[in-house]
Amino acid sequence: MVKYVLKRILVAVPVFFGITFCVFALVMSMPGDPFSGMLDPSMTAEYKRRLLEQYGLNDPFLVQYGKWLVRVIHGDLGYSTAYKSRVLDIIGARIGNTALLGGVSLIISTLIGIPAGVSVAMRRNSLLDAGMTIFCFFGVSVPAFFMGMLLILLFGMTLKWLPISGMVVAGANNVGVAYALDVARHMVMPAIVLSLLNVASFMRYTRSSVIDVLSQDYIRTARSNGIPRRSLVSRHILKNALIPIITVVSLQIPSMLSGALLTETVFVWPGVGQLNYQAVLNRDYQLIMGIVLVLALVTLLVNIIADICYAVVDPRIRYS
Amino acid sequence: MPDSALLEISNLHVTFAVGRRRIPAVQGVSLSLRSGGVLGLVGESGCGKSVTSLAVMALLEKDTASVEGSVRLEERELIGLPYKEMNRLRGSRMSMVFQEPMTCLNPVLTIGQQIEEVLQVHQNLTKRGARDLCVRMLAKVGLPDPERVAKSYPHRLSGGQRQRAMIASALCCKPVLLIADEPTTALDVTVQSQVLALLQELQSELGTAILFISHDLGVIAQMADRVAVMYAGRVVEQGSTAELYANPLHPYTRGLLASRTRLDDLGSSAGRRLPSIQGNVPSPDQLPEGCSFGPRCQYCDGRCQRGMPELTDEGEGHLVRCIRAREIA
Ligand SMILES: Nc1ncnc2c1ncn2[C@@H]1O[C@H](COP(=O)(O)OP(=O)(O)O)[C@@H](O)[C@H]1O
Ligand SMILES: [Mg+2]
Repeated sequence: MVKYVLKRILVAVPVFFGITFCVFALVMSMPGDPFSGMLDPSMTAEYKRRLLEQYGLNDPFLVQYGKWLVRVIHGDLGYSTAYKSRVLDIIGARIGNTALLGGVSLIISTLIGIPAGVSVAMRRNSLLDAGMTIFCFFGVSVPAFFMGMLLILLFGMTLKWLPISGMVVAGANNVGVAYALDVARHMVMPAIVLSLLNVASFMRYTRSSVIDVLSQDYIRTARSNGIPRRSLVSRHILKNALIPIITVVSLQIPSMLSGALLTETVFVWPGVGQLNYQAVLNRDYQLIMGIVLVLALVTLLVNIIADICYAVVDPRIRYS
Repeated sequence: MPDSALLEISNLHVTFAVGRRRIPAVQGVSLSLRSGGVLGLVGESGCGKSVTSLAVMALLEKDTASVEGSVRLEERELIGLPYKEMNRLRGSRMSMVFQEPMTCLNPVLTIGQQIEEVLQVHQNLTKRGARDLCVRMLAKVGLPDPERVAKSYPHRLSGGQRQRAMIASALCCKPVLLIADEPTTALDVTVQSQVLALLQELQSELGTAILFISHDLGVIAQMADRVAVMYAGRVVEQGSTAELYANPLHPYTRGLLASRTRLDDLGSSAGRRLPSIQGNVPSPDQLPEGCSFGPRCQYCDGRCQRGMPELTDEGEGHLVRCIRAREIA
């Protein structure tokens, strides 16, 4: 098991270099140079050449990549011209909010989507199954911004139950439990929007995975041994069905971070998604690249975690 | 109850509904198995042997298979028994060993976890007690180092070892009836004979009655004291093993026996032509008029196409479903 995990991490190393290389290549292909926008337009060509020389911008591509990589590893992702501060600091201030919203949505959608998927699979072709299929269609096809607006209209404007934007009431300066409650109230609607799609897709995948497992010979064996329904579902079926579900959930995490873009924008949630939107509007290249890099690394990390989960669930992987 | 059978299947019908089609896979099968006996069920693949056994265990999908008739185990009617009560019998009074040892064990649970669960579900055992019993059972089915096997996942075992583990799990609660559906078909020949020997040994030790299903008459001859031959969802001949092999009456049984002999004597009597069966088992929803075996039968004539022959007693419990049985004997 330890060997397996180490191997997974080892495999991730070249992937890490691949990702950073791609990101760097994108940075390099940006039009212009970092000084054209920052400095006095009347700067002489000679002075500019000296600056470029000084900052190593005339070095060969690979040398520049090496230097850039060293800077990235030291946490220097560049400087945002629009926010007038370090990219790492800007992302750092936001990523927690995104992780909170994404994490809560992920937990909600797993807790609803997987059990719902199991129960419709066990009652295949029933009325419940048909109803849930329609719900899933709805869930995956309604755009997040539309759903968001609808909720804002209903719960925010008409019923006035929930705040429609931001993360806290501006200027309230709550602390402790009051702060947590304030955040929670602000999170309800974006979390619903973000969960809806996931619930639908988790449910679909769980359903088909469970149906697949139900037709396996070992389930027939368990039934021929009189294993009661509860254990049949929780031990014999779910553990096997979980293997493909891990894939779906782990694919969903990075796309949740980037997919939060619309939701965060609609609800003005101060997260990375909204930041990304702003960065694109401002053509804040360094910031965009920083976000791309962070998302890529999160994806890489999630993949390693998923690989470990496979091994925990499936002994065939653990002992291979 | 000396006379009453342990398992009494009467007039069993199984019909699958696939889309609009209705597939009568089993039509009026009646079998009986005495306590401690071994009844062989033989026939080519697709004759309805597995469906019959799954119907007995109530393992057919309720929404696609309709099961009619009667199945009585120890005089208790099983058809229509509530799920929970059926579950109390399955694994404890009756259990099953399947054909595919590679896919019949749960890949994410250890052998021990799977057998111990069966023990704990049916017997009032502590975890410790179940563990001990499981290891003893694994030793009993001839697995070396049973402690290690109990901790192993199925993919670590060979086909033969898995089938032994399957047998251990099926017999761990000492059921009165074991259904073995082609238990050795998927195994290598040498392993096959070992597993058959094991089944015989356990059968005589535990006194478990076995419904032994195979397409191989040789295996059946070795295992069973009575034999029923199935063709296209019906029993076509039934009798004691000795009688049926010495004096087969149905052309289908003769064909099966002949094709087996031909294989065994290959080389020594290669020139001799023996009657064997042409063609394939018809699909249950495309059965011919009259006797289902008619189109493949060398003795078939106009009378055979008039209707399905009855299963008639030709003496001493030797039943046959053929109107010309006596003429052609
Ligand atoms: N679930 C099912 N749905 C439809 N037809 C089935 C199903 N299971 C078995 N059958 C059909 O029933 C017939 C008998 O099958 P089976 O009992 O498996 O044969 P065998 O004697 O080889 O064990 C076959 O024609 C098969 O196609
Ligand atoms: Mg079969």
